[in-house]
Amino acid sequence: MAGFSTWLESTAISKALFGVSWLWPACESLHFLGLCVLIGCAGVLDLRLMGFFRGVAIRDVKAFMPWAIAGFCVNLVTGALFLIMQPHLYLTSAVWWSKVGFIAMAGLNAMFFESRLSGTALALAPDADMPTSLKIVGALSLFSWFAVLYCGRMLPYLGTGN
Amino acid sequence: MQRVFIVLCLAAAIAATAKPVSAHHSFAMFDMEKNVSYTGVITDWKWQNPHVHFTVLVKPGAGVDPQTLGTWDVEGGSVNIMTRQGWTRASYKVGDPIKLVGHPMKDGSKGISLFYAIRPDGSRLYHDIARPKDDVKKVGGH
Amino acid sequence: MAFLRSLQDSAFTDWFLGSDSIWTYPTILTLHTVGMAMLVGASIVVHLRVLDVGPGFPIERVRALYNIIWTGFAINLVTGIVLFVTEAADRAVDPVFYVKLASIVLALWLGVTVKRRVIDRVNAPSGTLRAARLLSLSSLGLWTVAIVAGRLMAYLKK
Repeated sequence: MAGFSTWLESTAISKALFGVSWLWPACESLHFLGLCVLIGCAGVLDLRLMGFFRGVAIRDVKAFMPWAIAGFCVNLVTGALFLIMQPHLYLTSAVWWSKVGFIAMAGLNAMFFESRLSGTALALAPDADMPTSLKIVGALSLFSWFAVLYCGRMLPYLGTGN
Repeated sequence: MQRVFIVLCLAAAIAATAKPVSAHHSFAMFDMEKNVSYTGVITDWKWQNPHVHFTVLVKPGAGVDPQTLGTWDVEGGSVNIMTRQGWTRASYKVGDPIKLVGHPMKDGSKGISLFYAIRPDGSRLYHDIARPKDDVKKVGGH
Repeated sequence: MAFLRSLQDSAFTDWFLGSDSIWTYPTILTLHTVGMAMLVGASIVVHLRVLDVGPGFPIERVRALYNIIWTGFAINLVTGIVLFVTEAADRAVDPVFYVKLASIVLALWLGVTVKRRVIDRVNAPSGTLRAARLLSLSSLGLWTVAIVAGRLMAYLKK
């Protein structure tokens, strides 16, 4: 990883991007905005699955998901840019890989929901009790995204590879 | 009322983006390709998060690169990361001599991104985990 | 001003910023980010709803999101004060800091106005929601300004 990181940081694209002085700060702002959109919009669905907002049809909460996905995409792109510009801060960092792991957890959880539980969820009456499986999916999702936030924010302090 | 708010929003947005960046190291870049050696004396020492900062006064003398003369603001990393690299609050204090290698500002202003300091015994105190590409332990680093 | 300088140069600041423990500065900073995600995240959902996203979501049920908004705000007020103390003198003369605070106050004020005029209003006349859209759009813009200003502050530190 350290070798790949050194190579990546020596490439023309890495230097060109990092050489644009306002790009890194701009990516940071976008990354923070993206996380607010993502956590807000996915979070409200997670809360619904956990049983809050009883009486609101899940279909009507899922309507916010395209925005959550847009927020995620902004963060995926800005995240990739951080990685290309300064790979040595991330590629050998256990904290960063934990962040990636939590993102994967959130993603797999979401895919599991979409493929296996979505039908059940959408068919529920708006004031029905939430089955335990949905509560777990919602709680895991919310936990994962905050774990991602934690790892990301703590990186310059917990360790960028040491 | 709504008009007032639109105006206020626009004003805030413009103010936020148009403020001239006047502090030390706004968005101006360090030249990460350059490793330059500096030999001087600590004139200010700030052991604090989020970035350790210290200033180094480089005085004229035998073998001193004229381009390194002056008072430089050296930026390090977080207290937590520097501690893991061996730094402590007591590593240096005002008045101590210091030898360091760092990346100067591209625009010529007197700022340095710390790469590593060199202890009297020749060993290095790195800023973070980044190491020299060729990993040659030479004092001078040109 | 001398008082702010004494805060910034205090033993507390020296300990808080100089500690290599993750439980001091790093934790307060991360809590500030958590508070932001709650405060701005929930606000985004409120205002998106006013702007017609998820039209089936009953508008009066949006009220519950304000619990999250105020909890996030409380977390950030406390953590923000701690962070401010450590840079009190420098921030007091930083225009970007004032832009951030003003944006937050205005964005929250708009959020409260939207709540009063639309969300809490039983039997609001038709067109009320539409009339509130500009307030919601402005609030979203102001949250954006607040976040950008917050990031900019880190680059304009002394």
